[in-house]
Amino acid sequence: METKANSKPKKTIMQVRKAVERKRLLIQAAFSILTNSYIVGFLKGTIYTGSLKQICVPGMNCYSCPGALGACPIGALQAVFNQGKYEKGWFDAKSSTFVAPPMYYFAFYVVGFLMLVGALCGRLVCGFLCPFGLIQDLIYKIPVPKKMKIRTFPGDKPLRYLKYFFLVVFVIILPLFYEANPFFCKYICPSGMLIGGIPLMTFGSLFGNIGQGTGTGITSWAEAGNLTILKLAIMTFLLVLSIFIYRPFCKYVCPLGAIYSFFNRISLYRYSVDEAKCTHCGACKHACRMGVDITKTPNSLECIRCGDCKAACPQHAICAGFGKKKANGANANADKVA
Amino acid sequence: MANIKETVVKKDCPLDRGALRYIVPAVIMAIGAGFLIYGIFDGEINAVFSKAIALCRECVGIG
Repeated sequence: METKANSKPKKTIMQVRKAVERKRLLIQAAFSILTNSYIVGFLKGTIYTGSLKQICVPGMNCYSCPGALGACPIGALQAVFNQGKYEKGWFDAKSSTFVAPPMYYFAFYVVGFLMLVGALCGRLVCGFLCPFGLIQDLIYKIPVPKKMKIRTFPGDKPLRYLKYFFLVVFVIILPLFYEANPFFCKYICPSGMLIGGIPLMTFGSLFGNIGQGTGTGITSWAEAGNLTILKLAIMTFLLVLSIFIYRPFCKYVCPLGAIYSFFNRISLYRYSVDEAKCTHCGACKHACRMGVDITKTPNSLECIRCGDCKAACPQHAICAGFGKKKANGANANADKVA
Repeated sequence: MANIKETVVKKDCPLDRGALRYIVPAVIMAIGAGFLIYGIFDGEINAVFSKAIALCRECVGIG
């Protein structure tokens, strides 16, 4: 005799995948709204200046977004690296000597924050907590013929290393050793243009009183120049590309994703595959839009922990979590395999 | 089928083994927390704050 639970129709893999994706989108949207909830900024074309701005947010979230309540870790990293170039030194009355400021600052606060978050969950941040990731996810949903959705292309793999180049050159070397400029934010970051520049310049133009300190509008489109055109072009290119390629910014450009990727293999939150259950059907590889084969590298640098592979696995052989889960023995088995 | 199974590289980080699975991230988190606290008391947090509360002209594409 069938029990009530058994008679309940089982969800298909497709239904499970859709439910997982919906849940993830909800978490992404809730976190993005939470960290960008300074409504006054959107109404007046200004930015939040309260004490919460001392705290970094885990994702790519420009601090010049009108709604931003926290600081972008990549912007903050460059700001601290630039610090030595602003300070002029001081006179020490005790020793009657002029003390020169340190030439280079190590960003203890921001690096410490990134180590904490990275060691806890690695690129789970990219999959669940990044507002720019959410924007790309939504754009990728725009329907185009299936042929036009590009999963991979010649040069895809080498291009993935580009984000490490942007991290080393634009975020670390140039701001630290060359001049006081946030190079990545200034010349590349599409997030600053999209969620900072466009709303601020638009609201500023609409409401006037630019730069008057009246709290209404701190910039406008009248200030747009060559840099605006360059940043608009980069932003438009990446957003249009997001229709055809899943998360191009995260795959090829994002220095924050590059930092978190180093933690994927050692973070507390980890993926593992139960070799005893896995039939190597390839469903997980096919489901992964980041191009990761989870059966070979469960903690790949490219994995954003979205959970698509886990939902697609018909054998329930993929396990994700912070600790050992004995229910399906996945993690225990991974320990043996490794 | 057995051949297919054999060709699959069964590898992941060796740190998946035993206690290291937890010790390594815990040590990194402890160092990170130490850096974070040092940065707060060293005044680095002020540099972050002063940059974050002013309009970043470079970030928004006008500076």
